[in-house]
Amino acid sequence: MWPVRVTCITFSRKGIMQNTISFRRKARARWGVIFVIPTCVVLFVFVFYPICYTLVLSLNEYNFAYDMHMKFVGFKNFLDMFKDTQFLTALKNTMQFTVFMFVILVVLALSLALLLFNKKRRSWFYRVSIFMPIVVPASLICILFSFMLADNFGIVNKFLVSIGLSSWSHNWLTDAKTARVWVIIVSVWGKVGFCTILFLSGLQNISQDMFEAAEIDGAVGWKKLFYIMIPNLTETFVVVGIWAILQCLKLFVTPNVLTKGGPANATLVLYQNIYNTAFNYFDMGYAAAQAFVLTALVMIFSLLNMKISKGDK
Amino acid sequence: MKKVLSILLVLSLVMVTVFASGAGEASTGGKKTITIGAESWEINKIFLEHAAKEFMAAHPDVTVEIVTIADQTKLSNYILDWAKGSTDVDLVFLDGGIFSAEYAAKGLIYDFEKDLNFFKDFPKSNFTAGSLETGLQNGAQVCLPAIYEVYGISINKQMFKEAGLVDANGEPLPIKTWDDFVNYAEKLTKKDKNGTITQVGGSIQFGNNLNTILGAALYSQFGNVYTSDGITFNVDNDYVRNMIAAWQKGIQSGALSQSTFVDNAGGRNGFKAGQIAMCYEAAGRWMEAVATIGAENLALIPIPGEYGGTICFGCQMVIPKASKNPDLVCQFIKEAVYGEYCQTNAFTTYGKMSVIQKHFDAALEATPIWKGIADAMSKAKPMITYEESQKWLEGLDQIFQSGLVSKTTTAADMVKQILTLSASIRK
Repeated sequence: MWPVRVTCITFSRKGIMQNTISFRRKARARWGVIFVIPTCVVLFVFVFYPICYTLVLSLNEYNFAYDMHMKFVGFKNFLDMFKDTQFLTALKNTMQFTVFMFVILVVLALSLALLLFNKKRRSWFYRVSIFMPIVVPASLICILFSFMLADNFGIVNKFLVSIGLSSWSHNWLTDAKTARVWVIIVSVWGKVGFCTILFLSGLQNISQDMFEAAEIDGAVGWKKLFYIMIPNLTETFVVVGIWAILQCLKLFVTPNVLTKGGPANATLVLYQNIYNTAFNYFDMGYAAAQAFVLTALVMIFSLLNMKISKGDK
Repeated sequence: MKKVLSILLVLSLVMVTVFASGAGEASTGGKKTITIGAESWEINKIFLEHAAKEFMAAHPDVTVEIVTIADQTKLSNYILDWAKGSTDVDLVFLDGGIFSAEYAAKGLIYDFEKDLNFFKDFPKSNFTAGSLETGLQNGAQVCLPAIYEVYGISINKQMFKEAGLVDANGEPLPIKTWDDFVNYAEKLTKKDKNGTITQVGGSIQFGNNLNTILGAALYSQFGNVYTSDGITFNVDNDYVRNMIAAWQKGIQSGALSQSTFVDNAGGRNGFKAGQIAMCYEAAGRWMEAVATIGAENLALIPIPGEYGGTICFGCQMVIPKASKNPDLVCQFIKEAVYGEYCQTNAFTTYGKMSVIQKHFDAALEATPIWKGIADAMSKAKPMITYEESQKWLEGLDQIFQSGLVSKTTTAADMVKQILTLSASIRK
């Protein structure tokens, strides 16, 4: 009987302990739920609900200034997009800008980061200079550039004339080709600082031992770049890549302020077209459908970037 | 203990929220407050801060607050707020009646005549001819103009003299047709030895005022902007095709500036900088150039056309139905916005014309250059506001900006595009 009793007591103590632990876990879980609720509410109100509502809007025809009620039209808004020349122009421009800007942004940021990484004297000065455009509001930068590039009174043309290069002066922003180029230049100038800092921190995280070992093995210059630095920047490439893709696809301020999407829609981008459709034309259903296309593009490009960047791993 | 702490935390948060929200109301005490929303240029050029001070001095129990409308998105947000019956503004200044169409369509703003009886103690005869009509939407006075503007061609007389385009008195030769305008522009254009243009002959607002620029050109010729249906632009005729062909010629030769394609202020800034000789825009542009060019070197002439009139448009005021102080706001408009200081100074300093006849007459005496378009001003008429006005405007911009520089698109093609656009939008 004795052993049985002991077993019973032991079992009973274990049970009490388990009950106590279970009670504590439940209490902790309850508090956990309480603390998570505000985040869930915020996520629901500001993320999930707008996404769901945008989906509903995209399937309806609804001009919020003139229509009293939504009218269900199914996928009509999505189909209409491919007949809408303005949307197609905006899509084409967005893709062009994305490709050019992404390549220039990543290459330039990496080059600047490498320069800063190897530049020991007055590096703070160069860092501040490169990072400065991030601090200045983008709209202000665009207004300044629009003054500088103005046809008749812009400082760029004045400067070219004053140094005897008047034949180089040009209608920079009213010629469709040069307007596109300037939208890319101004956008890259405004965003390159952030990418540079990311690359620089990635470079600084590479162990010094690795560089020393590589140097002993005779890896200098380009070899050091291609065999040590770039392979060790894979994670940074993913982060920079996704950030750059988002910035390129969501390009808005530069074309909106610098060229207003003109001349003749030559610099109109998708984000701007969505804005115009929603807040100038009040056509919320059609704008919502376009927003879904932009979201799909962002996801496709981000996945592509992750796949390419992590391909070797 | 934890429970007590968490209860205390929640209580303190609630108390902070309650007391923080109560503080604002306490500071206003028993005073009534009216809040005015306006863009920064309206606050400056209509002297709204002075108006607010003047009104508060006359009515110590009233506080007038001015909030800046930083961008157009705010105007769209008002639709949502007002539809829910809430508002953070009692009076809104709009950059043209075009922006009130959406509010009027949903019945979100007061009709000054029917709902507020505005003209009972402030008769319509106080207003200048045509100005009050700029605030009409489908016959309802849903907007009141704060100031109004007309169109004309601002001239740099010095450049005209250099090009030999002046009469015996040194005054600019009249521009009777659009061919004259472009021919003059070509004579006024200067090039250096490399063929680079160093002085541009003229500028037309091909940006966000193109709707009224085109309308004013039609009105000046025909005395009406629209066809017999009263709503479609009267563009399907040889006069318009010739006019567009002339503009196309001017743009392609470089005699007319393209800067307004991407920068609405490009033409006027070029004119102010002494780089452009003629500027077809709102007539008040000449005043902006007084500081740089000098009043003695400036002139204002009417738009070419047989009828010789001009379109007028106004900076409009609307009162949301969600406002709790519409009568007080009306009083503010009558006493302060339509007061002598705001109306006279807006005209004499910035060329924003007074809508009140007595102030208009006084200001006109002080600035004789305006007399150059006095006849056109007397025939001034506003245009109709389309429901899908933004679509119409942006469509026009695209047609003109692509067509004027194109070697293959003819004026007839552009007219067809305008008609197609016109048929596709909700009016």
